[in-house]
This record gives sequence, structure tokens and C-alpha cells, in this order.
Amino acid sequence: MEAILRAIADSGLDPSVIDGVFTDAQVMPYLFPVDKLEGSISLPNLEQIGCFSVAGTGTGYATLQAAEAVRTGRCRAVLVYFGVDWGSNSGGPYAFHDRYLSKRHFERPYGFYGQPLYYANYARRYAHKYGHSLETLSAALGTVAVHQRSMALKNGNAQKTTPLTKDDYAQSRMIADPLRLFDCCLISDGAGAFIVTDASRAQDHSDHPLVQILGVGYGRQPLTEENFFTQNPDLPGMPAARSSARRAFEQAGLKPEDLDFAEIYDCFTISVLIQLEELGVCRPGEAASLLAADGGDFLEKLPVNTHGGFLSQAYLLGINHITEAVRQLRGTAGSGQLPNPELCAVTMSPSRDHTTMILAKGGAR
Amino acid sequence: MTVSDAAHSDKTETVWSRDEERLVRPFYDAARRAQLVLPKCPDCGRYHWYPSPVCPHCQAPGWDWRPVASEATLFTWTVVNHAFNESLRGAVPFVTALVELAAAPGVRLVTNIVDCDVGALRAGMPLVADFRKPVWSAHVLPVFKPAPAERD
Repeated sequence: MEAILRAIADSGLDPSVIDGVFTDAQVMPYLFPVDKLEGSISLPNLEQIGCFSVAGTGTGYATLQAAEAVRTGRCRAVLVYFGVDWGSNSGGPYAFHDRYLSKRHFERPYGFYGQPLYYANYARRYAHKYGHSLETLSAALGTVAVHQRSMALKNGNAQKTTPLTKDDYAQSRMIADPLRLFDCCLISDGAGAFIVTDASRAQDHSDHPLVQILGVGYGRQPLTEENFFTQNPDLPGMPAARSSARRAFEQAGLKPEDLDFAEIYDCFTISVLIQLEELGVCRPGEAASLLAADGGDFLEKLPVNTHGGFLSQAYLLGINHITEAVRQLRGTAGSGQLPNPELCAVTMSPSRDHTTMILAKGGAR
Repeated sequence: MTVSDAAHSDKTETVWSRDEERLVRPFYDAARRAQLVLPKCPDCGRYHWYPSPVCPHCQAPGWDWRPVASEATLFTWTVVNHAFNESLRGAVPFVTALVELAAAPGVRLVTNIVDCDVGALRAGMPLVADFRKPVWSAHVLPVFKPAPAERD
């Protein structure tokens, strides 16, 4: 609620201009559905509402729909919002397991329960497929964890406020090998919101520099959400991420090497590596070598998760990646501000479906 | 009571829902007889996993539960050190794995690997099924262990 009110205030728009509200279809329908929102704040001219896909991807897909609705004139201004209570809700992120018949009967009996196990399987298969030793993989994953922690410390609005060294990482508790404690995202309560509208309306009402949506791509794999972690024929590849990135870059008329920074859905360190490859930032299997050998250099050229991400800021399933990207492009990211970035990719989420959005500083392209 | 409740209470009598009756129970019943069965499409002849009311390969409705040879290879695995549920506190560390069945291409089973030193695990190693209670179940189910030649 607070996030929504702040987003509306930030946009400078009168709430009566907002005629669309889009969000995800997994968490929001029970946590803060649109009718509850409408009962709380007055949006007198609301005409379009929509809930899309699962949490992370849903927020990305909601953005795609918002951009399309504004582009085609179907909406004047669209509110996109997302929040999560997994930090305090007793079931947390594990509650959903029992909803799936297959998980209940063919996975849980074996203790295959908890997202770190899913991505541990991906991580080990990734190392095997590309011939990386677990030492190389671990060095690369550690680079991501340490880098993101350093960004979180600059952010000032992060759950994690203490430094993390490579040694801290290497000595941290093994959760599900090869994934350690610091390979896993935090568990958080939090929310975010933003408004998508046309450039001239944004310019007329806001003093902020414009941030443009140059492209949003959606990709998918013909698998159910419950099958993705075990039956994905491409495992450890993520074809949905590959196609969403291709579409987003095509729409934007840009290439991965044009990016100044990237906010990558980092539920686990390994998902950052795999998505960097699927995005085309580096070749398949290459992320581990680049980040293990000279992670500093790689991340200097392409800073990733400049707010600390899910690993060190908060696990808000991607809405915080979008708001951080906007702050960076506006130049209002505080002490974590990059020097004049112009172009960013935001990805959500490493699963059966995926969105990639390309955002640019207004007038830069 | 569903089978999962039974797992918690350690009662042996299981009441299956209608969906569980057709999509789950045959697998469990076969496992009790030390047999591995999988859903096979009568139309295109392919196996699929997890059980689905419609063949995901050819969209034909219906399926037959067919016995499948348990020779498998290790696709990927993790040694679980953290107990993600109270019930698993006594079980950690244990190995969960994805195994691929030679007789059912495209199917990967989630399982536990037993009778094998974790240091000896490697991708592609040959495995066979054994039928025991896995780490978090009151039911006998297929788990996997190194194939005989592998253990010599």
C-alpha cells in the first residue's frame, strides 16, 4: 500500500489518470488483490486490471502488458505493483510445495523439498556439462555473492548490513551442495510499485529524468511449473530466458554488449550465471570461468544487481530489481550510483517462463 | 487422509483422493511389490513424467501404467545438509538426485541415492532401483543404488 502511494506520488500523476492495474497472478491474488487495493485508494477511472503468471515472471509480464497497453492507447497510465510476506508468513516460500500433487508424492518423500535443492541440481549439472570443477564453480558463485553484498552495503536500504569476504563465503555452511548459505536469497517482507505511462505525460508531470521501456520479451517452455526443476530437457539451460532475452533485445534494437548494467533474478547465485549466458552476455558455460578467474573485471564492465539483489538486499521477487534499475537510470541510486549508466536489462525469473526488459535513460537512445 | 498425512502420522492406512487414486497410487502400489511402473501413452508409446491425464507428447487422453526396468544413470544430485523441515532433522545429510531411466527416455525420477559413498557419486554412473522407505515417507518407494558392476 505504502509502495503504491509512493509510486503514485513519485509519478506526479493524479490517481484519476491511472486506468490500469497489473500485477502477478501467484502471490498478489491472495496477499493484496486488486479489489483490496481499490477498496483502499480511489482509482475512479480504472478500466483494465490483470494478473499474470507466477510471482517474478508475473511482475515482468505485467510490465510487458503495461507497456503494450500504453503504446496502443488502451491505457493512459498503468500501476504495476508487487509485494510479498514470505519473511513473516509461516509457510514462507516452501508453502507452495504441498499444492502440487507431484511434489507431494514424488518429490517430498525423498526430501526433495526447498528451492536450494532445485538450484543445487542445476548448479552441479551446469558444472558437469561445461567441465568446470566444483572449485571453479564455487569461486564463481562466491564472486557473485561477495559482489552483491558490497553493492547492498552501498544501497543503504538492504537487509544485509555487514561485509562479506571470499573467505566468509568459502567457510559458510553448506546448505545443499554445491550451494552454501550465501548462495541463497534472503527471505523478506516488502513491496514495490511503479507507473508506466507515455513519455509526454511522464515528462509533463514529473521532474525525474525519463526512464524508457525499450523492449520487454516473454519466453516460455512447454512444461508445468512443477516439472521445470526436474524434467526440463535442457537442464541446466533455461530456454525461456534465452527466448525472452532475444525478443527483448530485438524489440529494443540492441545487443547484450550495449548494456551498462543488469539486474538479474538472483534467487540463487547459480541462476545469475545461467541467465547471464542465456541473455547472451557471455557464451554458454563461460560465466563460471569469467567470474571465477577475474570476477572483478567482468563485474566492473557489467555491474550486476546494483542494490544487492535478493542475496543481500531483499527477496522481493524482482520488483526491487525494476525499481533499482529506474533509480540507477535516473541517477538517484545514492552511494550505490553507477557513473552515468544509460542502458539496463532486468530479468525475471529463472523458471519455465521468463521476462527480460530493456530499460534506458530517456533521450539516451 | 492423504498419503502425505500418513507419512507424518506413520499410519499405514491410506485414503487416496480421486486424482491420487489414478495419478499416484499405482506407482506406490507397484513399489510395495518392488516394481517400478510409469505412465505410458497407448497412442504414441512414449513414457511421461509426472503423471498427466493427457499425454504431453501427443495429447492422447489416458495412459497405461507399465513396468519399467530400473537401470538408470545419475543425472545430477545434491547432498542435503540443511533440514528444510522439522521431519528431516534426523535424516540430514542425505542425497537427493535426478536419475534418467534407460527404458524410459525423457523421464527423470527424483530419488534418494543409497548404499554409496557421496565421494563416489559421478554424473552418468549406472544405478539400479531398490525398494525402501525414502527419507521422508512411511511408504516403500523406489530409491537408487549403484549398479552391481559399479559396486565390485
